[in-house]
Amino acid sequence: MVRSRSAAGSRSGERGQLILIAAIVVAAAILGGVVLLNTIHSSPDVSAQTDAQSVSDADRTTAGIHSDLGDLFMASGTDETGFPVPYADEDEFGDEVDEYSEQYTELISTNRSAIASVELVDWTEGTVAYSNESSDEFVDNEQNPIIEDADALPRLHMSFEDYEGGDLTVVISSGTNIEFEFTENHVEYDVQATNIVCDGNPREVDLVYGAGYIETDESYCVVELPDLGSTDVNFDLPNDEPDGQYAVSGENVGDCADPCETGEIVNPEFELIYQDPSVSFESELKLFKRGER
Amino acid sequence: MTDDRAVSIAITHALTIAITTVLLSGLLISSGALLESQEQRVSNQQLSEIGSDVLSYLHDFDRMSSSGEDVQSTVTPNYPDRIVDSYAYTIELRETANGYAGIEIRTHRLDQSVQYEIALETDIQESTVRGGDVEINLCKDPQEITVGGCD
Repeated sequence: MVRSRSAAGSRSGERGQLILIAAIVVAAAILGGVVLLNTIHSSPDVSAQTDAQSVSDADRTTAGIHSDLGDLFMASGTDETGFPVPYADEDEFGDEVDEYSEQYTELISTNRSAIASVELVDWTEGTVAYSNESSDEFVDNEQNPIIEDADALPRLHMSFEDYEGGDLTVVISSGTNIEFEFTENHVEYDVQATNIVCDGNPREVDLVYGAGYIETDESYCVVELPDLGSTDVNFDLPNDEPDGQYAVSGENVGDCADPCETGEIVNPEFELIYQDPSVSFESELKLFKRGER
Repeated sequence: MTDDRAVSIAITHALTIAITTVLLSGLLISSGALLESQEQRVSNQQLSEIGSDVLSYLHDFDRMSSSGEDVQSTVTPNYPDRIVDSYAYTIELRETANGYAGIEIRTHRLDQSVQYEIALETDIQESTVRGGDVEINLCKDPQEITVGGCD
């Protein structure tokens, strides 16, 4: 009797141990599977998003700086003349750019780990002729040419509040003449045997190295003149002169109509550097490129 | 009275172990097949993510190259050293037959690759770089896009 009771106890104990071992083995197998699956599911999503943001920041920052430099350049001309004229004094503009660079770096370093620096490294020297704001005449004493023997025209800008008066003709002479005829109803010109008419009362003309736009009260017309060599700019004025303003800059100009500024910066060139932990960017850029301002 | 005729403890244990072993083997074999397919899927996904990210940098650099003269830029993305933490990979930039810029992200041990094409205005220099320590460059003189550093 005693022998059979101990034998039964022994058998149930051994079965219990076996079940326990089997359960531990199964649990270990499941745990191993979970660990293996976790290592497979890692993903680079978060890191890639951070780096893409850095490149976007660099792109946006440099575009913003380019725009600011354009404003700084025009402000420099306005300081001298009281009128937005596209030129800057060689001695003063470099200091203004350095000050801008310092302030900009302080600004962006307050909310991100990045630096940006700008330096004036070169420029195109030239002459800028512009309208005299205090004069009633569109061009003082009807002087012509406005610009003579320019190697290129970095900027030609004209604006009218409400064009009234006779027909104004702006003649750009470079080998062949390109004549812009301004009337109260349109602006018309011929280029490469093609007649182009921009309808509406003229408001603004803005050309950078011969490319840009004409804006009227009805339309916006793109202008692309061929590359101009040695160029003169003349205004053929009507008796009833329009009420407007102009500023024309030229490289290596022979002569100009007063008022004009000579020996000044008409197209500055900058070195721009931007750096953060993921991206470095360096570029030399001219303020005025054909068709861009 | 209990009837313990034809009952052997040793055989009971052996049968239990044998049955458990068969069940566990089946579990491991099916898990292995599942893990392999998961690995293929996830590695393909990681390669695609890296490839599309590189593509976006090429597009950004192409746009930046026209923003000025002698533009130079470098980005060092934080990509993983290995795909699914196990397999090395390479990033190759080359010109395709139709004149586009092509990117191929390849892991040799899994024999997997993903390819993308993009039309760029900036020239490219054909180059290959190992995954992990990656540089994507916009070089000057001449102005071109490359991976692994400018010459």
